[in-house]
Amino acid sequence: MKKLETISQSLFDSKAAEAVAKNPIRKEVPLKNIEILKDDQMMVDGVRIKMNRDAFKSICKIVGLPVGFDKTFSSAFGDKARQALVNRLKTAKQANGSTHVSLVVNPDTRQIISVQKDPRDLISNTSFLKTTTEIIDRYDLDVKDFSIGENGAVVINTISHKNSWGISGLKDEDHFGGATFINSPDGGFKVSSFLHRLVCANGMIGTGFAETLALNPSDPLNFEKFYSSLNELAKVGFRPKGYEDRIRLAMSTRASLNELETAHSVIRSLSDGIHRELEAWVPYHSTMEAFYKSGIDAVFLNTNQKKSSRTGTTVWDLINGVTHFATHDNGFTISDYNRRRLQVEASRILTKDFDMMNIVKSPF
Amino acid sequence: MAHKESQGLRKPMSDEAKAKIAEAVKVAAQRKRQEMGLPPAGFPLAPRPDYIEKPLELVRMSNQEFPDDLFIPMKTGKAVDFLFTNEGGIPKACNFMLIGDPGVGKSTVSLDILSDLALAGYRVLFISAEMTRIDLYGYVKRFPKFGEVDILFIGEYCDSNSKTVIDKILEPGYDIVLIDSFAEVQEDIKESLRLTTSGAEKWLIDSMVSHNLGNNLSRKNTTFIAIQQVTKGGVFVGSNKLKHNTTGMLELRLCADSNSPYMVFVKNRRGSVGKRMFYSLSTSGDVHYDVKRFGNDENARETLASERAQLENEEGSFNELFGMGLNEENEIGGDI
Repeated sequence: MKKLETISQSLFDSKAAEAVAKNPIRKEVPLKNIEILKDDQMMVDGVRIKMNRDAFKSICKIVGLPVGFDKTFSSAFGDKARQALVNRLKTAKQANGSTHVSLVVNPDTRQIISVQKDPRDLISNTSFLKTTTEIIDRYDLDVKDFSIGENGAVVINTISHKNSWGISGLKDEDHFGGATFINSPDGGFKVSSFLHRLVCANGMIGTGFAETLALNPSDPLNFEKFYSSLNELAKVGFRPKGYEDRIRLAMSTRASLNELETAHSVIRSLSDGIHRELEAWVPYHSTMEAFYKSGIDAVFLNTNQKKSSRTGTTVWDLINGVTHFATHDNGFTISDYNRRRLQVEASRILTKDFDMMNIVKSPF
Repeated sequence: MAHKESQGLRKPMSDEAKAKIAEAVKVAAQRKRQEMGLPPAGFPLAPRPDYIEKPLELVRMSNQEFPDDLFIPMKTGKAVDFLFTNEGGIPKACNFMLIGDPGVGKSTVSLDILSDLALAGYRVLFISAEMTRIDLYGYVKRFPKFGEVDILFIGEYCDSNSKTVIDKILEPGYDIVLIDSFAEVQEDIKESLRLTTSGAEKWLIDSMVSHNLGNNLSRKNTTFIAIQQVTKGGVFVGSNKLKHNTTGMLELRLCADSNSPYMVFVKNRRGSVGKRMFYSLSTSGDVHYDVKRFGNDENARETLASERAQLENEEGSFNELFGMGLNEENEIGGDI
């Protein structure tokens, strides 16, 4: 039986110290004291501060501007008109009673990385680690990995030998359940299932499953609900409801060209892997060549056509390609944090509606 | 006039005669009240005498001495101890009010506390003004340990003076006394002494405070737990005086999400406020407290407190990073 690899206490401690040092800083400011200058700059109390794309998106969300509309509006009227619109909406929001927002800054880059309605929607890495450690001890979990993002986001994957299950009728499908603890400047504190497939030692972060819990740390009552739901999840070994059914469906469903292309592009964007080298994990090029040989130059297909183009790879194989790339050292340069993002992407593929799942074989 | 006299009608009574009769009735009533041991009529409404019966004393706490034992709380041995005080236990010489929704278990929980203290060797008393012997018998079937508590069924003394009954029963001195309910006992006193509601309340509070100070035969600094009724909306029905004279106000509520009962102090001079202790009455024999949930709640509060401090620090760091609040010229942050 393969052994589950976990990290040492000393490594955990050094990672924890790093996470605390990288903690983003928050400040609550009156809405009237901020002004959007560009989509990457805002004026706060008379000081011009740079912001990233996520921060701009979150401010659009707070003032009630849908991202899709924002894109359409800015392409039609230009950036200046969009900034004016966001500032107008901000003023309207103020009049409506929303008086403050919380700015989250990366102290290293001095850049705003997120905007929240309330600073209490987020939790510091210190409190996150304290709460997480208590949960890990309570449920006797082992820490598998500990990753820190550039903006101070933290992801901790944990696993337990006690939580194992197979899938009836399927060989090599022994899985272990654990929990993933995430604290990010835009999403806050979340806990979801961590799913470890023993045969290839691949891990997946089950954020796509409904069991994912979010803790809004503004009130003890929220902690109460959080712990109660966590206890329910722990009772079932952190196994999401319907997990086996999704695997069976993923095994019997072919991935679309669009799904293959998306997975390939996510891996490329998060690592230094180039096209041909990634074939072992996502057979994108061989698939494109197969289409070409059959008389279809898939380069010219639009998204909807790619969604309807069946490939020779099952969704389950595609997921395993992504999780394998994320979990193992394959000789590519990829940060620990980006590995975790790939594990999240794998669960997104598993839990979303597969492009090919509703295809009906035609009798004609 | 002659016609009236011929009909045998008396002459109308003079004002002087009326006053004489009224005075005679008043004196007779006064004598009767004295015989019954009651205060003069109109006593509660009359202004207090313009003299001080007891010499005025200014207290300096540095001159006060109390035995150390007085500050060692009485332990039930259950998690509820840590709700009452941070060091764990029911403090001595205190008065707690307990309120809650109907059926949430006010009597059961408080009797459970009382029984555990009785088992721990403390002298306990239950003054029941709402339940009869038969009612309690049913309880004891389910919670046998309640059977060892000394109980005064005050309703059985309805023809007697409740003040005298209570004075007499408290005279030996107890470590802890449970009153169920304060409003019912207050009503009994009001009726037997013919006092106003606030007058009866004052008498009861004064009596409790007197026993807090150990004015009884065994010099015990009695603690009182008094169950109080609530309005249909769940609001405390006692006066502000009662609220202010209590050490702690314990509420028993049903959780809106899980419908499970919990207790929480909304006022507590000896311990924390706002911590929720979930409990269950489903098992026979004992009230079960959810220690894990209580620990979670405590951790959550600690986390929130440290987060508040953290937020202040972060705000300071933010201002420092961008030179805000320093009256300097605008600075450009980031790599613009």
